[in-house]
Amino acid sequence: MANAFDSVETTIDFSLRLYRLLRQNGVQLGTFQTIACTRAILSLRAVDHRDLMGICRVTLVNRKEDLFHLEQLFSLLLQSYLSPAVDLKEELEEHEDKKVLTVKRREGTDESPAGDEEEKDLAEIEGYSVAEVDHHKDFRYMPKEEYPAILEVLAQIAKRYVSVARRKTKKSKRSGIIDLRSSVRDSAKFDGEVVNWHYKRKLLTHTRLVIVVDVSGSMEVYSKFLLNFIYFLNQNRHFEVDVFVFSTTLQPLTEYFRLKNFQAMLDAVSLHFSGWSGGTKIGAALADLVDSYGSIITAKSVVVVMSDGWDTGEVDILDHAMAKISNRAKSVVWINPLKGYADYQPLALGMATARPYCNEFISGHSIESLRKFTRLFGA
Amino acid sequence: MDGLNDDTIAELRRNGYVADPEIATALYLAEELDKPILIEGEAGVGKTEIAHVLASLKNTKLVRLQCYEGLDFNSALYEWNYQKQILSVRLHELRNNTDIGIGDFYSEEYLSYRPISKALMADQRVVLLIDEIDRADEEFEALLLETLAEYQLTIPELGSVKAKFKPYIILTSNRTRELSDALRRRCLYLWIDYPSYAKELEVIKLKVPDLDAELAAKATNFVQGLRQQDLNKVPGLSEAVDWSRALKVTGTKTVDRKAVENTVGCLLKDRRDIAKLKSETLDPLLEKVGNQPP
Repeated sequence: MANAFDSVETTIDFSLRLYRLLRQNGVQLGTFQTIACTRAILSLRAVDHRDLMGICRVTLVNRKEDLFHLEQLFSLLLQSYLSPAVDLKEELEEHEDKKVLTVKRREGTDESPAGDEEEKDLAEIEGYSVAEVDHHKDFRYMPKEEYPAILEVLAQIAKRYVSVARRKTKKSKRSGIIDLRSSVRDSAKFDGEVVNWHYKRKLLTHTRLVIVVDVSGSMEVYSKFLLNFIYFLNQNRHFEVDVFVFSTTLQPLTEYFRLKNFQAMLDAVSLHFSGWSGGTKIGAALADLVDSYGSIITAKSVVVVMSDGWDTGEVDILDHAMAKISNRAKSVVWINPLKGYADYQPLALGMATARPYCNEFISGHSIESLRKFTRLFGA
Repeated sequence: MDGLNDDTIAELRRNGYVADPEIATALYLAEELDKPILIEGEAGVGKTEIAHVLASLKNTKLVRLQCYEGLDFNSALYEWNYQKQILSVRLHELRNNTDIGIGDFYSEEYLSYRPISKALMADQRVVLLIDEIDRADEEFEALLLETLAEYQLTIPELGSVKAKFKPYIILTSNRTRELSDALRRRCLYLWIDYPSYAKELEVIKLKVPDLDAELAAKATNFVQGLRQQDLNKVPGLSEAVDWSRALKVTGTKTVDRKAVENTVGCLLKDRRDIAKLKSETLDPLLEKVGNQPP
C-alpha cells in the first residue's frame, strides 16, 4: 500500500481523526493516551502508516479487547484517507459498513460446516469439568448437571475472598505483632525511652450484611445460587449476615445458615416456607423488614436486595420502605439478574421506584457477577 | 522508525530475546516518552523476561517487586527503620548528646528502602519490574499511581522525593483480574500473544542451540498444533523451550509417541490435559507434524 502521509502534519491530522473515531466506538481514550501518542509521533517524525499503527497500539489502547477495534478503525480510516474525497459522512458510512461486515462474518461461520463442527465440539466440552464452567453465562441457561460444578466454583471464590489478608491493622493490647511505629512515637513522651510496647493485629472486616432475596417463580434459579454463595461466605465467618427471603411475605432465614449441610438447609427452608416460587410483593416484604427487624439495619449494615423488580403490590409502600432503608443503612445494593441483558433498562415499576435509593445496582446472573459482588463489601 | 526498530530488535536478539516489532516499539517509546509499560499476555510468553533483557541491554540493575495478595505499603514503597531509630536514641542518650531533634531521626539514614524507593533513589537508571500486579489487591494500584506518573514518592516526614534517574518501569499482568483504568492510563500497553511458528522456532534455536534443526522444527510444529487443542492450561513459550531442552538431554531423534509421552510433563501441567492428550489427540497431532514440511 502506498504511504498515506506526506508530512507529520497529515499524520497528526490522521491521528486526531482516529482518536475521535475510537471514542465514538466506545474505546476509553483519555488525554494521557492521546498526548502520549501525539508526542510519540512528533518525536519519531513518523510518516509511515505502519509506524503509526505500532505507535497507536502501544500508546492508545490499554486493554486487549480494544486492540481489535483499533485495527479495524485504523484500516478503515486509512482507506478513506487514501481515497481522494474524504468527509465525515463518508467515514461514518464506512463505519456502518464495518458493522455489517462483522455481522456477515459471524453469519458466515454459522453457516459453514466447519463452524457447525466447532459448535458441536464446544457443546460436548461443556459440563466436562469444573474448570470449564462459563463464568459469564446466565445461571438460567446452565443445564442442571452443571449445578454442582457451579457451586464448587462459588465455594472457591468465597474461600479466596475471605483468605485475603487485610492490610489494615488495629491497635491491640497484648496480642499481635509489635507496632514499632506507634511504640517509637509513644516513647517521645518518656524522652526516647520505650516504656510501653504497642501491638497491632490484622483487622478483620465486620461489614454487617442484611440480605433480602426474592424467591418468587421468576427468580428461583438466581436466588438459589445467591443463597448458596452467601452460605459459603458465611461459613468463613468474617462478617455477620442476616438473611431473609420473600415472595409475598418476609421470612427470616438466618438461623438455617448455621446448619452444616446447605442442602439440608434449603430443605428445611422449603419445609417452613410456603411462599417459595410464588408471586411477588416487594414493597410489603421490605416494609415488614423495616417494621419487624428494623434494629438490624444500622449505619454499619449493607442491605442487599435481590429481585427482578416485578412488584404486584402497591408502589407507595415500596417507596416508603426503600426510603427508610436507605436512610438507615450504610449502603443499599440491588441485585437484579435481568441487568445481565445488554439492553436492560430498569423500567419495571417496582424497579424504577427502588432504583434511586440504591447505591449499587448490579447483576447477579453469573459466577463472574457474583464475584464482583464481593468487592462491594470488601475491606 | 523502522531502522530504529530493527536496531532494537537486533540488540534484543544479541541479549537472547526474540522480539516482535511491537515489543521493540514499546521499549523504544517507553524510553522516549518516559512512560511505564504494562505488559499483558498469557502465562509463559516472556513478559517477565523483557525486564531481564532490558536490564542487561541497558547494562543496569533490575529491581523486582513480586506482587501478592496483601502486599502492603511497607513492603513495597519504604519503611522507617524503627530499630535503628531506637538504638540511635539510646546511643545519643548514653553520650549525653542533646543537640539533636526528632527530625534528625526521620532522615534518609533511617529509611529502609523497599523496591520502589530503591528504584527511584538509585544512582543510575535501573529497571523496576512490578511483576504480576494483578495478584496484588486493587487498592495497591493506587499506591503506585504517583510513582508511575511522576516518578516520585511522597514520604510525609521527608516530603516528595523525586527520582534522580527515572527508572524504566515494567508492569506485568496475567489478567486474573481487571486492572483499574487509572493504572492503565498511565502506562503504555503491550499485549503479547502466543508466538508465531517462525518466532517460536527462532526462540528455540536461540535457547537450545545444539538441538538438531529438523527436530527443533518438528517440536515447534507440535507445540503450535498442541495450542490449537482444547486445553485447561495451554503451554507457553517457556514450556516449549523446556520441552526442547528435555528432547535434547534425553537424546531424542524425532518427535514420536514415545518421545512425547516421556517428556510431556514439560509441556502440559494439568492431569486432565495429559490424559486427554495420551488418549485422544496425540496420534492426529503427530500425524500432522510428520506430514507437514518444517
